[in-house]
Parts: sequence; C-alpha cells; structure tokens
Amino acid sequence: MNRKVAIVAVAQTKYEANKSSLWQGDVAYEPIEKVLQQTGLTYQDRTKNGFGIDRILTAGEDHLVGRTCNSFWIHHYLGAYRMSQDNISGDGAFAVYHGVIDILSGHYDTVLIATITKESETSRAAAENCYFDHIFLQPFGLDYLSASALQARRYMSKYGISREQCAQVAVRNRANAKNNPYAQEPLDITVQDVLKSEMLASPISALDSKPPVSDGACALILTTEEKAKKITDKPIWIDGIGNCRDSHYLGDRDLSDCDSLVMATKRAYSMAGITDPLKEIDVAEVSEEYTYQELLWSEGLGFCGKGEGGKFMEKGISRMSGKMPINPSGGILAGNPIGVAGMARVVEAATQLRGEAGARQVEGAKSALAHGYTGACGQSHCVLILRK
Amino acid sequence: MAEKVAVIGVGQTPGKRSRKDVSEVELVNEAVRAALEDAELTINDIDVVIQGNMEFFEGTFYTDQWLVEGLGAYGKSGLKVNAAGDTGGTIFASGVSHAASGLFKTVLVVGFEKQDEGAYGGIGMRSEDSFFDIAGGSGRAIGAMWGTAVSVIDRKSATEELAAKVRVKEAKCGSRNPYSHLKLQLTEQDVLNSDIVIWPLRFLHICPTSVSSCAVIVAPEKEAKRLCRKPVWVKDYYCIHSGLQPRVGEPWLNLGAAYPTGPQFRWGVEQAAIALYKRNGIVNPRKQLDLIESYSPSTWHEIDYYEALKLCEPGEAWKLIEEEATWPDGDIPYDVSGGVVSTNAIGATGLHRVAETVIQIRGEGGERQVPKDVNLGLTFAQGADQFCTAAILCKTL
Amino acid sequence: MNVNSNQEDLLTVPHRLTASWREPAGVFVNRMLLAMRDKAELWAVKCPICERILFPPEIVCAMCKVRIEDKDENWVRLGNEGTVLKFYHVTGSREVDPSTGWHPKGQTFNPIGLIMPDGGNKWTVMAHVLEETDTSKLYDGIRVKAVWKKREERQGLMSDIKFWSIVEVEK
Repeated sequence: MNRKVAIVAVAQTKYEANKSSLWQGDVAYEPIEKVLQQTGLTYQDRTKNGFGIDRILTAGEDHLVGRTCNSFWIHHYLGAYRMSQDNISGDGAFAVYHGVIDILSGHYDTVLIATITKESETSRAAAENCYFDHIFLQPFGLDYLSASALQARRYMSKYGISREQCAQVAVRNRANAKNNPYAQEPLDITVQDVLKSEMLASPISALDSKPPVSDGACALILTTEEKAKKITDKPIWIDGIGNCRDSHYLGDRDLSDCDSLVMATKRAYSMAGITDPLKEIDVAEVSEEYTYQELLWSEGLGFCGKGEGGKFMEKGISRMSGKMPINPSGGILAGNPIGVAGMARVVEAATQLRGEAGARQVEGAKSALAHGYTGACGQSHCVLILRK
Repeated sequence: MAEKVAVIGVGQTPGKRSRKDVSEVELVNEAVRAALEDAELTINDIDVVIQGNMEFFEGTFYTDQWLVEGLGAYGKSGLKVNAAGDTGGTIFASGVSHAASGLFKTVLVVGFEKQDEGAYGGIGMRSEDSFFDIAGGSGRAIGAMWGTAVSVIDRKSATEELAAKVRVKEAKCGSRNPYSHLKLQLTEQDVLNSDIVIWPLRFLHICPTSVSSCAVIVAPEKEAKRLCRKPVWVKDYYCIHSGLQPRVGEPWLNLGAAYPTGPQFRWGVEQAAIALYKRNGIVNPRKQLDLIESYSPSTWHEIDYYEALKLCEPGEAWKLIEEEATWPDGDIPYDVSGGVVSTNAIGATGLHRVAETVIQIRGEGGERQVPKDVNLGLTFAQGADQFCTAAILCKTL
Repeated sequence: MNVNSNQEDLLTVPHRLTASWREPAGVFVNRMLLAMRDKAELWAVKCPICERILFPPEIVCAMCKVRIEDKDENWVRLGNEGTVLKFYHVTGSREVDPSTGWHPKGQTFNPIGLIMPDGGNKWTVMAHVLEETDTSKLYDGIRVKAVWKKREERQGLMSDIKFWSIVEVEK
C-alpha cells in the first residue's frame, strides 16, 4: 500500500426493531454527529485550512427506501453540499473498502462513511426477491431466507454439520450481545431453545436467524497516517482489504463452498501479510444473518478446513474466552439491518482495537478481522484487516 | 493522484428505445466485449469490475450481483457504485480511483440502463418525498429542467429561436454517431413547433429514455503504456454535490429556480469547472479546451452550461450560438456525439460521454470526428440537480 | 441446433414488485405537519449560523453542516400569505399514477408556484399549487395566500393547503 489508512472515529446507534418516531435522516445523523464531535473535524468546505472531510460514502439501495437515488434524500445529514459524495450499492463493508481505495488513490484524504437502513420502513423480502435473476430464479418467490435454507441444507448434508452445531452459534452470539449496549436483542438461550423455535425455512428456525426487522445506522471516518496522528492517539490501521463476487445462479455454485469469500480473504490476508489467521487475528467480527453462515464462513476465512466449520465451533476458539473470539458484539444475529451490517462489523472491530468495547472487550486485542457480504448465500464478500 | 491513469479501451452499445432482444446481463456483455476488443485484451486481463445503474428503474436489487456473468466479474474484485444520473461519471471516477490505488492493473467500468424493463414514470414518481407530494403537476424531472430553461430566458442568454438552432446542431451530431439513440432530421421550425411541456421547454428539447450500455477500461500508467498504443490520460477529475433542497424530490428540485444560487444543475457544473480549471491551469477554456462532452439533459442545459463552463461571459451564450463556436467545426465543439438529448440511458450516459471524448482524442470518431487535433477534453456527468462528476482527459501527459 | 422457433418472437417475463414503504416524518417535520393539520399554521426553522429559514424544517443545516437545536428561538412562524418568486405550468407532460406507474390520459394541472411565505427569507421556498389556471394573470412577485382545507379534511400533508390564491392588490 502506498499510504497508510486509519480509522479515527466510529459510532453507531442502538439497533432497534422500529425507530418509529425517527425519519432515516434523524437516525443517520446520530452517529455522523458523534464522529464529527469525536474528531473535532468538519467538512473541507467549512474549514479555513482545508483540513476536513473531503469525501462522503454511503451504502444504500433504492429498494430499501422505496425511491430512486436513495442516497440523496439524506444529503443534508451527510453534509454532502459542496462535497464529493457517492453511494456504494452493497453491504456497508464495501463502502469502507471503497473509502480505503479513495484514500490510496491519492485523490482524497479524509472520508466520512455512513450507512443507515430502516428495515421497519420496507418490505425486505419483496426487495430481496428482486435480487434474483428475473427469468429463472425470481418466479420461485425466493428471498434470502429461502435461498439460505437451500445453502444450509447443502452444507449440512455434505459435511454432516448438525442443527445443534448451528444452534451453538445463536447461543453464543445472543449471549455476547448482553455485553453490547447497542445490541437490539440479546438473549439467554440454550441449544434446545433454538431447535424448538418456530421453523422458518427448514433447517433455519427463528432463533437460527437474525430478528426479522432492524433499524440502525453507523458512521466512521478514515484518513491518512499524517492526519490520523493529529486527530487521535488511537488510530486503527486498515492493513488489508479484499472483496470478490461469485456466480449469481444458485445452481452454478456448490452452495457448500464460499469461493468468493476464500478469494476476498486471500486478497485481504495477502495485503496485510497474514499467513496464520488464528494466530495473527485476535478478534473477528463476521457477518452472518443465519447461524450456519458462521460455520461456513469460518472455513472461507481460513479459520478451519473445508467441512470443519461445525467442529471449529465446538473447539471453543470462537468463544469470548477462546483464542479468537468471533462476534463479541453479538453480530447480526442480535439484530443489524441489511446494508449497515458489514459496516457495523468494522465499527465493532475498531472499537475492540481502541480498547473501548467495555463489557465485550477482548483483552489486549491488537488485530481484528471485519467481514460483510452482499447478495443471498454470500454471493459477494468483503474482508478487512484492522490493526492497532 | 498517486498513480497516473489512462483509458485503454471503450465499448458502447447503440442507444435504443427498447432492447427486448437482450436481458440486462446480455446487454452489459455487449459493451464489455466491445471494450475488450477495443483494448485488445481478454476478460482474464481484468482485475476489478465496477458497475453502475439506477437499480429501481429495472427493479433489480443489488443489480451487479445478477450481472456477474455478463460483466465477466466472476472471481474478480469489484462493487457497484451509483448516485443518480451522474452514475456513469461516478463509476468512471471510482474506476480511476481503483486504478490509481496501486492495488490493481486493469479496471473495467460498466454502466447501463434498461428502462424498457421498468415503469420509469412510476419510479420517477417515487423520487418524491412522501410528505411533500403536492398532488401532481410538478413535472417531475422535467420540472427540474424547467428551472434551467427559464433561467436562460430570464438572463437573455438565448431566445427560443437560438435554442432551436442549437437543437438542430445536436440532432445533426446525433445522426453522425452510430451509437446515438435518436438520429433525428430536424429543422428549426420543427423544434419551434414542438409541443410545449413546461414553457419554454418543448418536447424536442428534452432527452429520450434510452437503453444502452457502455464499458470503459482504465489502467495505471505502467500498465497503460504496456498494454495500449493510444492511452488517453485522465488528467484530473472532480465530484461535487450541489443539493440544498430539503427533503429532495421533485417538485422540490424545481426550487433551485427560485434560489439565490439559481438552478442547482448549473451551480454544480460551474463549481466543478472552476475547480478543474484552477487545478489544471485553464484560464481560457474556450481556447484551451479542444472538446466538451457534457451531460445536458435538455437543449437549454447546453446553453446554460456554455456560461457555467465559462466559455463566454454570463448572459452571452447567444454569441457562441450565433458564431457556431460550439459546432463540430467551431472553436469548442460541444457534444459532437449528439449528447444526452440524443441518448440517455442513465447509468451509462455519463460513461458514454467519457467514451466519446476518448474516441475524439484518439481521432477515431469517423463521420463525427472533429476536424482538428483534440488534445484536451472536458467531460462531465450530472444527477438530479445534486451530483456532478467531471473529468479532464488528454492525449499526452 | 435445430430448435423449432419463431425467430420473430421476443419473449418477456413479467416482473411485478409489490411492496409498501412506510416512513415516519421525523422529529421536526412531524411537529410541523401536526401544526398544519391541527392549527393551519406553517412553521419553519432558522439556522442560527447562516440564518437561512428552512421549510420544511431540517435538523441539520445543509450549508453549515451543524445541528439546528430544537429551541423555541430557532422555530419561525410563517405567515399565511406569500410571494410567488417563480411559477410554472405543466401543459404537455402527463403525471404518473403511482399505483400503476403509467400516465393517465387527459390530465390538466394547475400552475405550480415557488412561493416565499411571509416570515421567511430568500431561502424559504415552498413549491405548491396555484389556484389561478390562466398563467397570463400570474407574474413573478405576485402576492398569494394559502387556502386551507377544513380541519376534518386535513391529514398532516402539504395538500392540507388546497392551493394558494391571488391576493387582490388594492389599487
């Protein structure tokens, strides 16, 4: 990398099922205002010395707001006037990725990234159905849940992953969420609770899944090494980034594989110089809307071999007390809206490395992995490596 | 920029009202193949694929995910960027950023719009805030264009007759461009007789809704020099957001016509031009620029932009028109491709402007090639009165 | 390949998105709309830094990029009359029926005024319907007043104002 890129501030709202009195701008502005206050930064057009935010990125999608040009509705809240502002149509982790690219290009120095989604305002399943190829897949009425059920089935039957192993993911994530003041739905549940919960799309039951509706937003500011050192004594460096797209058609993939995650991970690890992730990563924030995904993505992220996701879970490495805790925040399973989810992972990872994670802090964490995905069954993945 | 970046390949599909013979996947594939052929590369030579379109118009959620095979994006890095109508310019800027980052060797940028698949009118309707709907009559996007049109009349920058003259020029240029959607044979009288939509905007002044795709390949300096005989360099680019209207949405976009800053369409273009000129030593754009490919969604925008781009003094656009300075054989050829009034496939349009500038700089414009050496070109894309992404392209570094 | 097909047919697949979106007005706008609904009053906010008076009210000033505090002194009551800064009349376009996405035929519209209500400043511009359909009777700067629906018909939408009608100037 020709320049070092640092996160200098992060903020998020509490995730809730329905922020019913707040319009999306009100929700978005809360973390934006916080990161501006934390850094004392304003926007380049408002400064005298030109030292300010010179680029703004969001990660919205038209179907989620029911309007075209989704990002321009909140332009005031983003502080977009007179600025360069763009929207990444994908998970928020990809917006952070693009922010890094923008700074590496030398064209921008300081990027504000903000994501907001109010699932309470939209019909998410109707939008998801529009993701699928209109000719072959959409007419089946697929949504992310039903497609994920297909993937879960394939994965579990190929490698003998059990529902119990998947359920352990829910138990751990929901329990971790109790330590996270931003979490929507921390729960004290057992494996039996998960197995007995209402079946949504076999083998995925209600407690195998994130809460059906989440609202929330997060924001962060990226800048160059030189500027970061002026703003904060806790810059968190983004040492590696990688993303990748897989085939669209579910039948063109073996759904028990996550090839695009493997590629994205390889790119990020290579950039960050990581060869032994379990040794070199202290904490991981991984995006998973359904429990089986943590097991499958663990394989793609190189935490274990192919088909070993279930065994990896049982080894306890990913517990809070383990060598490499996964999702001390509780992750998406405790409630995060689409689009915001992957960026919330980055925010959580940075919070860990800043030592500001309070009750969910992983002691002495110096390096973190943050991950997000776009598209059903993880069609595209994005991985970022953060270091103190 | 950290690295110098050049355009090493361009591909376009001809604009059409409708392309029922292809799916979205196949449409983008046509442009991608054309760009690869132009660059003499294969898809295996591409590292990253950036895509853009305005997803609601086709009703495809996270569009780039479906298009993977058509884009050749399988297994590669990439993502989708979109803002509004400037999407074509915005993805170009994103592509240039990716190329300048030092992480990639070749970047494929693909924009498209396939509006025959969606209810454009209905979606345009949904570009309105739910609470401030004034129950119809706003004119939607066309109402926003009205602001620019009426400001041209108010400033006496041009008359309706001069606007008709410009429209005929645009049509002639469009007719010479094989990729143009509209290839109209127009007389000034045709334009003056055209139905009034919102005075002074007439039906013929306004861009069509088109279906097309455009692909552009960019690369950092070392790769560009290695791979391409005629790289066209990206000298600089600039993005600016111009939105001041609360709760944006048509009819609220039209507010710009009454604002102290004037129509925001114009303000954004002017700011982008000022910034780029200052950074690149352009003090007399009419003389120093060789070509402009603009995002003028109506004839009136073209005229307004003559002044916003400082090609003449405020209120004097009429001089440029009478002198035919912006004609293909004039001082500062403007939209020799026929421009947006000839083709507007929103997600592609901004990128078509880049492609056409590249073609002119290379001297490969065929029937539409301007009769002079083109060294320095200005191109920009605009969206919804809010976004402007502009770039300066040049033949030699 | 010898598939028996009629090369002329271009098949399409119907794709209908049926979804609904529901959004809250937001903190300031909610209050403003309730004042319209309940009291036929128009309220705006003023940014204390640039002093632009904004309608509809926003919690952040787009130019100053700071929060506009929810304090009484930042709320500005707008008058029931105003000045038309500019107006336009859609004569040739057709509006869209949002439930079908298509253009119904035979539509006519009233002219739209970009109105600065009294109590606002040059940044307070509201787009709304003008009662007068004969545009030869309208001019930039004409004075208009808001004509409200009856209380029971008002819902907390901009259409709670039926239109703005010309204020006859005393000669």
